[in-house]
Amino acid sequence: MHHSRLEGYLDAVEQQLTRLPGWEREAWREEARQHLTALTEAREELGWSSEEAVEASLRQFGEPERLGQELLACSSVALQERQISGYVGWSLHVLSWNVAVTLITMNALLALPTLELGTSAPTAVLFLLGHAAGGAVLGRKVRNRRFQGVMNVAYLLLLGAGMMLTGLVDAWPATTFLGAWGMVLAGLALSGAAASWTGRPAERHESVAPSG
Amino acid sequence: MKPMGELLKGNTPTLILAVLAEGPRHGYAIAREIERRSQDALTLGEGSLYPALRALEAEGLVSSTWEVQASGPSRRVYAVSESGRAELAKRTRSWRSFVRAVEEVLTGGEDAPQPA
Repeated sequence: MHHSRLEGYLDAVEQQLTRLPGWEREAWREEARQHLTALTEAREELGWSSEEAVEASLRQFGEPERLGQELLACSSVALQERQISGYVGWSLHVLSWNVAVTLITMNALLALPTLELGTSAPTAVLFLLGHAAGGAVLGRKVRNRRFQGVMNVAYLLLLGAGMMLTGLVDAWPATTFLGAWGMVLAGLALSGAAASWTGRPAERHESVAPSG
Repeated sequence: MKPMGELLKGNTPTLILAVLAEGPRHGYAIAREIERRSQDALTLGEGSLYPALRALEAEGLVSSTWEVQASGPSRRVYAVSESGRAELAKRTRSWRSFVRAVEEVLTGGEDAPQPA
């Protein structure tokens, strides 16, 4: 009874941990088994019956499904998944922001009808504000902008290569070319600063304040 | 949940780091040490202990090893890392500042106007 009740509980917890590697599940099981056994034995020494001691120890561990889910959510596997989704999400945001800044800048400067957004100033401003708000929410959530600098440099290199290959460099007057690049660079610097601000961790007392 | 339980839940990682700062311990010993130090005012449910340990380990604040026992099976023992000690110092400062702020509110503050 004693043994089978504990193992049944551990089975129920382990069912929630199937995404973890086998060795990690086994390690958790052994650790919890030892802990539960120690708790049970301590109560038995105080005169509790074996059944009561086991049940009280299991209650102390809580509902097995909930415990399993919380263990999974706090595991290194879950942390890695959150980091990867953070990199991907933030990279997509930076890329789309850069494209939007470039197109709107070029359109505004040269009146090119390549993007409808850029031909109407209020629409362009609204679009950029919407993008910045989305970035602010994402930045607060992922708090991870490790590749932002690399992405911006790679983007500028690709943009320059694209402009040379399409002949835009030769077609534009030097002042227009320098002006366009200056505005793109200013836009990217501004977006980087906004991202840094929106993505910084909230401080004050959040790490120690009661969660409830 | 009782108010004390709510307070405990948000601060479990800090309490674990504080206990481990004194030396490596296994999970059972961590829970009992928190109870002992708080004179049983804080009873840490094992259901919150292990998720907190996993999170601390995933963040690199705590490491664990399986220690071979002279008798009986190996036990998983946790130890605080250097970054864990730094994090504990930071959390301790924040907690003290938080307690001071709450105390100020509860007592009306140093410069509180006297009631008429």
